[in-house]
Amino acid sequence: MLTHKLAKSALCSLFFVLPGAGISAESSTELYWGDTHLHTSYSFDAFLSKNQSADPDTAYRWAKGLPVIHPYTRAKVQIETPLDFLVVSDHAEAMGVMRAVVRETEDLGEMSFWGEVKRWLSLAIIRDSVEDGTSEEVFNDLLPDKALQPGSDPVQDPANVFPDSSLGDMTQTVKTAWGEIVDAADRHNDPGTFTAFLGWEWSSIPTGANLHRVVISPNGAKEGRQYLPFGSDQSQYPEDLWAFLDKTARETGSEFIAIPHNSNVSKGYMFPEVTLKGQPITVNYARTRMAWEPVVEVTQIKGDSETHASLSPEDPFASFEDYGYYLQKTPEAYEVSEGDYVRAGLRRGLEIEQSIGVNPFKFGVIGSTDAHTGLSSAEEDNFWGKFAHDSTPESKRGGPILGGTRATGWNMSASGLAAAWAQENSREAIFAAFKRREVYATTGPRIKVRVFAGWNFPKHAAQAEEIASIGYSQGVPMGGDLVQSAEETPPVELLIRAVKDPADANLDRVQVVKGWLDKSGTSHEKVFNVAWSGERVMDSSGRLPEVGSTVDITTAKYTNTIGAAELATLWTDPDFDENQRAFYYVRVLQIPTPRHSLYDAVSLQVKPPEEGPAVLQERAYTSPIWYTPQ
Amino acid sequence: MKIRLHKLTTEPLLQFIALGVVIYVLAEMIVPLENGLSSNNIKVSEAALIKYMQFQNKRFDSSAAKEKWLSLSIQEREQLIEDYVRDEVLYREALALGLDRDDQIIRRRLTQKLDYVMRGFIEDVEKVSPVELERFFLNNQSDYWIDASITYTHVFISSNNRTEAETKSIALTSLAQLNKMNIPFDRAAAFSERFLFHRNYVDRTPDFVSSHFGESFSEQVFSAKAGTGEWQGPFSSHYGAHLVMITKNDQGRHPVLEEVAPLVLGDLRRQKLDIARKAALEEMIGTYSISRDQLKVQNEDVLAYVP
Repeated sequence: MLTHKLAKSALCSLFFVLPGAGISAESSTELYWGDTHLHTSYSFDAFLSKNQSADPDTAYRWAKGLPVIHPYTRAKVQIETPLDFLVVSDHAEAMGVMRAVVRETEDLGEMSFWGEVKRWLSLAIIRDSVEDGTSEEVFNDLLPDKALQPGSDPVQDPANVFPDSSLGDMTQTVKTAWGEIVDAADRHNDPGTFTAFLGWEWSSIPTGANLHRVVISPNGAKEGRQYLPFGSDQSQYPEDLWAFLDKTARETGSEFIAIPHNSNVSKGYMFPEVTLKGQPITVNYARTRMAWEPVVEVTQIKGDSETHASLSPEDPFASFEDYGYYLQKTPEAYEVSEGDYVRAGLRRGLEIEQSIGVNPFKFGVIGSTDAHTGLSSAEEDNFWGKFAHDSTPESKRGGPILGGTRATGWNMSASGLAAAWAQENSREAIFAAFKRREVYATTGPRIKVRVFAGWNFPKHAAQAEEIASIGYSQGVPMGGDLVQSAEETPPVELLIRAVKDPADANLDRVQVVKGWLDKSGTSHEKVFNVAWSGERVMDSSGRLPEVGSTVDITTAKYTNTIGAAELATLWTDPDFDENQRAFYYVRVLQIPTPRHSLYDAVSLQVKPPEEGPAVLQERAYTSPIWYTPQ
Repeated sequence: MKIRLHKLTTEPLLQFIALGVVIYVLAEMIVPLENGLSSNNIKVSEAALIKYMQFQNKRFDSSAAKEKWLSLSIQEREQLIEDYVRDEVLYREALALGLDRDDQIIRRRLTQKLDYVMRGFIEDVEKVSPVELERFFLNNQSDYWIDASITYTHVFISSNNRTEAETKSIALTSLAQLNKMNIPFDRAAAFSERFLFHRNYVDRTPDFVSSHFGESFSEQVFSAKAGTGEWQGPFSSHYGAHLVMITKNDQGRHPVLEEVAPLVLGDLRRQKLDIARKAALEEMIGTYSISRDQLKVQNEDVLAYVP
């Protein structure tokens, strides 16, 4: 050990030839906050759900902190803390078409006589329904039916019938809309201050199995105008989306990543044991998937996908903001599946890696809203709903929000945000952070979290002024890989620091979630409490007393008299086995605060609604770090 | 959803169409309902229920269905009967309204259904022999190609604010020192400048490495030796020079059958199924006589959008 230290100090002096050796403060990373998943009036479902005016311009103005007009209430609304980056990700399918139809600016291909008649009727129905305020019915009618053969390839299921387009060829209208979206992004992109990415959503949902992906590109109009977004009307298989991205990247010089979301309602198909077609997962499938999908959206308005209590029975904080409602016309009881949740997916990734040599689910995590209001709102006290029409306290139970799902506006979660550790606020730098998975998720508040993994961090590293310079020079950040190198590898250490959102609640605790694979190839998970506020004492089984609550249910107010503003630690894995594949991610919990439904209840002077708790513990999830034995 | 009348009256085209619709509806009413289902009598027999169960489960094995029927509890039977009656009523009402005619969705569902039924029959018949599997694998080897992959760490020297010569000279000095001091894999970060992407790359393909470092770096690193315990390079990327330590460098290769057997078996089954399905379809088509009108070829530019 001593010789090691001597060697190290000797090296530091030897390496004077490399002026920047080690990480200087300037080349470290800054934290940027954004939303990679926001719909505007250009999405067919947003438009039919009464967002007829919040377009990409509105979305960017809101994100930059300017007051804007709410598309449903017409009130002036404003985000409390502006964002640093935003992806307007409208649905590729019929992009901008509903908006064009109602504004009578649609440009549709020629059809036969009867086709024209049918189209004329469809257009009249759409326009009238919008005028009558019944356009949600048109949207609900477009949702899928449940499977007739659950468990098999849902794309081939007889119930999976893609809605026929009675509108004819929509290419010209889509092209116009995409052009406007691309131009708005370029107009609002302001390197150093605010980043606007090109993006869209590929909305594959065969028989209600949600396989949606948001596609992001760091390029501008020059590349973006060379292609049209790939939609699920072209193919419902993710393999075909990846093939499109590969081809389009080569042809146009664009870069892309795809971000899956709402695995919680994928009916087990998001992190599956076999591909959607029912084929075994191969080395090539795993590599292709990981090349395009480095990051997964773990939390958003339609619920949190970290883990479910039935999959993680030992974790008292599992099942945060559960959302058990499939996106389909016909109601169907929710069933928990391992393929639905991120933690189980990460574990399954280790198991598959053990058998085929490559991990298909080696992904980082982010949060985003998936709001359809054009307003990226993840603040509990300033939450503007899933759709425009369920954005006010009185319209939360106004009617069906998503087909036969029976979910109300109070089942929705005011979540989440994407955090990126990047060298600057620019398309290139933030996109690079996504590619290297140095990104993380929160359920709304801007909790700042650093984590580095490695060996031999200095003993007092957690108290260091700038832990990043230690972390970067002696370990790997979130999203990275550790590889067994020495004959006898010492236990993995995690250097962690979490800081509260300056404008929000204190922190309760920091936890490390570890997943690992035993000799028989079976995966396990364990949650460690590693840092916490106050004088609480952890018992011998690793349990920690609750932090308490300051929330007053009658006024929806809380105080920061409990919890800590900052928690930091250098943690060593007590169960480390150098021969076991493992992943580690950090979860930070806030003290209890009011849920958006409680603010509504107080304003309506009614009891807190039964959909969800009145009080919740917001949280941050970091991207994992993987350890691989040789 | 109502369409406002005042709007309709202003459309001459619609007046014309409305007249057409009226005539069409009258004509439909005059044509008597042809199918026998129009009676209001639904007979719930054991045979009908067993048939219904088979359609529900998409499994056409009447003895198994009968066994299942006999095993049902009274409540389950009542539930089944209730479902059957409801489906039957809805079906007849829909037929009575003529919803089955000229509807693309129903046509598609029916063809999908028949396709599924055919598949069920064929699948039971097909068996695959080991010889057949081997032959299929050899004929389609290119489908199972496994890409090259590499595991390495790197010390990065940025070319930002440095000339090419400076970068190279620093890299060469650093390389000599790294090797002299026997710096291990996990200490790389301490001697590196910060790189845009990862420190360590575990089991990554040429495509992936190219997407982070550029093609030429990828070629260099994949042609370097693994497991020597030495630092190699410098290899240059878009961003500067890199000194790498490689622990694993696997060439791209064709796997042996054992590694990919389940996949190959699945592919072979699918292919056989496709052939059998096509043959069955050909046979069905053969029983029809098909007469064609002279079809005009349209300009390809105006082909309809197919979602």
